[in-house]
Amino acid sequence: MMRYRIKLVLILLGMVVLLQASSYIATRTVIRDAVIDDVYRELDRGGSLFSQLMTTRARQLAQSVNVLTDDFGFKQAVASRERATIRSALTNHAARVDADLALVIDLDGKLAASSGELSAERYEMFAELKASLAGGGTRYAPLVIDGTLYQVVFSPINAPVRIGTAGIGFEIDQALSDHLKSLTDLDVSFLLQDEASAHYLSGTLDQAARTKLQELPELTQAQTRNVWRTDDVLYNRVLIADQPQTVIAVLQVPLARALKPFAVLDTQLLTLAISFLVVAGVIALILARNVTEPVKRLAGIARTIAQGNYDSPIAAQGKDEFAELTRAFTSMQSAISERERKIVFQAEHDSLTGLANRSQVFPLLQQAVADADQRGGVALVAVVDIYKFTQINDTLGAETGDQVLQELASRLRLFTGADGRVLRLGSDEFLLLITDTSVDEGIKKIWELRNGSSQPLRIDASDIRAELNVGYAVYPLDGTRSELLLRRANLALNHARQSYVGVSGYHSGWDEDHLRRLQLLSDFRPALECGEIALYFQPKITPAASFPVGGEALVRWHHPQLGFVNPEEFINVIESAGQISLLTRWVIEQTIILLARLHSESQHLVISINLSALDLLEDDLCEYVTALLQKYRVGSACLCFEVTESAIMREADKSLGNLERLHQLGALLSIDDYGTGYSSLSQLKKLPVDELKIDKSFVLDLDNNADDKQIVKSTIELSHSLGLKVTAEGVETALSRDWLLANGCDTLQGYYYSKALPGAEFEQWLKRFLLQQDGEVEDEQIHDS
Amino acid sequence: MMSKRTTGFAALLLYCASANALDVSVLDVQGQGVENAVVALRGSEPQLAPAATYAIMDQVGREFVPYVVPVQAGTWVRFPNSDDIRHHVYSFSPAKRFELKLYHGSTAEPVKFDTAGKVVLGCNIHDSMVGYVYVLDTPYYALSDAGGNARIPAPAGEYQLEIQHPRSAEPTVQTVTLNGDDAKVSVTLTPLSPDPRNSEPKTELEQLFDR
Repeated sequence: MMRYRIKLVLILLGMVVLLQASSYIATRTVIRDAVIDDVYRELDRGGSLFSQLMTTRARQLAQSVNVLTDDFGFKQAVASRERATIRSALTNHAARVDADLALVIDLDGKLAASSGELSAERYEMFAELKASLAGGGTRYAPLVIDGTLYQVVFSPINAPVRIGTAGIGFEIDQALSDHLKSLTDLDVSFLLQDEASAHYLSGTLDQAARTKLQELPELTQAQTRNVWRTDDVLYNRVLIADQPQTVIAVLQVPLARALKPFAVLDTQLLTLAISFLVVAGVIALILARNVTEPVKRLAGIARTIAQGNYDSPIAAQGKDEFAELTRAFTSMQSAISERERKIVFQAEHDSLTGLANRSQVFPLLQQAVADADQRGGVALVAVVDIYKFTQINDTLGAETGDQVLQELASRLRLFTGADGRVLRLGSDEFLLLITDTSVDEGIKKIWELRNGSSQPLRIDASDIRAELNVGYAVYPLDGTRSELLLRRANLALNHARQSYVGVSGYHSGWDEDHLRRLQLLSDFRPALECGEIALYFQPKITPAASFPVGGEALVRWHHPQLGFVNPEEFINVIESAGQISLLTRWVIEQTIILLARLHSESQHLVISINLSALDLLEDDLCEYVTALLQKYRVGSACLCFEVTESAIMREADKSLGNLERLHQLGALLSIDDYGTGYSSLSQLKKLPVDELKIDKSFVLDLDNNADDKQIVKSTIELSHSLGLKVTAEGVETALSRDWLLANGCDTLQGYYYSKALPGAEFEQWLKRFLLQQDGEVEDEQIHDS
Repeated sequence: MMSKRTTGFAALLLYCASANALDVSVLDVQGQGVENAVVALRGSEPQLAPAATYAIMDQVGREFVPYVVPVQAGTWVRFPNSDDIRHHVYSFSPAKRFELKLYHGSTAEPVKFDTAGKVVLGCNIHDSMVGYVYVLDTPYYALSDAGGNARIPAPAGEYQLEIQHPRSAEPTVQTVTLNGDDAKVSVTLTPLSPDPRNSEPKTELEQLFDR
């Protein structure tokens, strides 16, 4: 994410760069064009000046040739027709006017004489000139003679009619070119041009530039402009002569030189643009800083506020938007601070009583512990609740209940004094912390509190009794950690409540029991999955039946740390945690697997499974069982579900409905532990059960106890009269077995036959028993016959 | 010399012993009469002028007057100076080279022209002054008037009709025979060069260089 400040600077800079660049480029282009135009004009002026110079020179030449042709002696010499005479006159005159060439052409256009030796080809050239010379008058003709360019002026020799033509020529040499260059400030070149090419004659250029110039296509192109430019040079072509030869002069100036003043200007422009850019950049930075700095400061303050610090000073200056924002921040800061105080108070305090709430338990506990440590004393952690507060709420209404709590809170506050170490844990539970006493004094105080609560509270003109239960734990005797102390005080309160003693301290061991239950609960699932919990089967013998053996599925847990765990104990724990159905279903599945395995040899084997009250409340139990039976191809008649009466009574209608469905499925139903609860005959009558199990507490001591015999006997009779089979648990002696069988008990179960066995052992036992039974039957049959 | 070719048959055609005259009409290509043409009838033998024959070539207003003077060979020509400035009359013509250095009035000696031919006269100090003396070896000659007409009285006989003019580089020659009656002949001169006396500069450059 790009920072706003950088963005702002970039935008501003970008605009300035755009503006500067475009104006720089535009200015540069305009100036450059103007400079080039100027150079063109300069070239034009140079051309004009050059032509003027050439003309002036030609005029001067004309003067001297006229001087020659006017000379009477010269005329006489020419009229003499003596070549040597004429030649000497020419040489003499040429020297006089410093001419490079002097010649006389006769009326036929033939060279009569010349000051120097001329090559023969030149005569033709003069013949070409003849026509133009015939008219008389002075003629000017730049001529290339033997590769050298001359400015030649011809003048007729009149005596008094023309008897010939005299010509005086001046070489256009380096000195002239240099002179022209010094006057025009342009490079000057003279070229002889024909249709296809140009030949460099003389000029101020160096050899490389000469070659380059000769090869320029513009020189020989038809209808070319007189002024043109290439990439690096500007040219002006000046026609000097087109008869008899085409001779041109080229004036040129390098673009670089022409642009030199422009380069300085360009540099200045660039410098100006860059410095403007820098200034603009600095301004943009300052501007951006002015914009972002207050925002940054406010962001910093906002962070401080986010950290919970509400007293950062915020200085608001000026009247701009930022100052307004700053002031808004200030008021927001104080508003948040105020609100947070309220929220914190509400979070830490109970709205009903105004006491600190549960969230403050550990801070207060730690404080109390620290106080005790500091003094080297003790701290009593007491948990208080109101005896049967639910009843107060139910009978007198929640409003009165609240008033009772408020009244109690003020009493407790009075009790703890200014220290105020009292808080409401929830509902009717309060926590008291007593620190500045010895253990005995503390306990005494607690008792005083408890006894004081016997006095009724006066609420709305009525007296309400709100007796207290108090459980306490002592630091450091009953524990040093806060949570331990709190838990142990709670355990003590439980004890005080359940034992009706009103006040109880913590006794060692309680906590361990509690923790063991917690451990069992947390270890239960993993144990089920990894096989620590195993299914055992205790045989049930029905001697009179055609298939005399059955079994009851029982769970056994060998805990790696705790060892063998009493099934009653852990089933109790699991049941209270609502996880019993997990165990039950596991048992059902394991049992059905066993039944499936044994199905070939023991088709009529019936295994009983215990259902808890919670299992009966699950509507899909029946579907679960059906699905498993189908999956393992086991008949429903092989299952018997054992239920206690009290379990059915928990939610009778629902439980009965589910039992009914199991029964319709074809499974057997059995009433377990008959005789221990509030057995109701009217209920029994309604239940779709097949069997009744007499609790082992009536059977174990059967040999010695006449009462038990009476109960068992009448129960058997009762059951039979209701059409139920009877099973006796806890058969341990042959004597009991015989008595029970003699009194009509259908099925026996107990150590006399076998303890509960693991699946494999149960199978073996079963086989052995059946073999043995077959033997006995055979024996009996032998006896009978 | 050119006339010798045609002499034989012309003599048979036109022969007349009595004195008469030949009217010659000198025309240019446009048919206009050409003034100042020297028309001469040359016989088979050259005839010199009698001794002490004089002709005059005056100088008036920086011009030779008359412009053209035809004379018979052997004639003395006087060069009086009617101007109040001096002239320096000269000729570089092969027929007669002479020089009358700066003189005034009638101080110059007469010059004898005894060789036939064209003599161009100039003044060394006045370049624009041009004059012509045509020296003829026959007494039968005339100068054409403004209408281009010239009348030459001559005895019957066979002649070379020779016409010369300053604007003609070469003489025009033809053979004529006079037989006692007046005869008439028309001659067209071609080509004619510009009059050297008043040739105007034609081009800009010439103008530029004009003195």
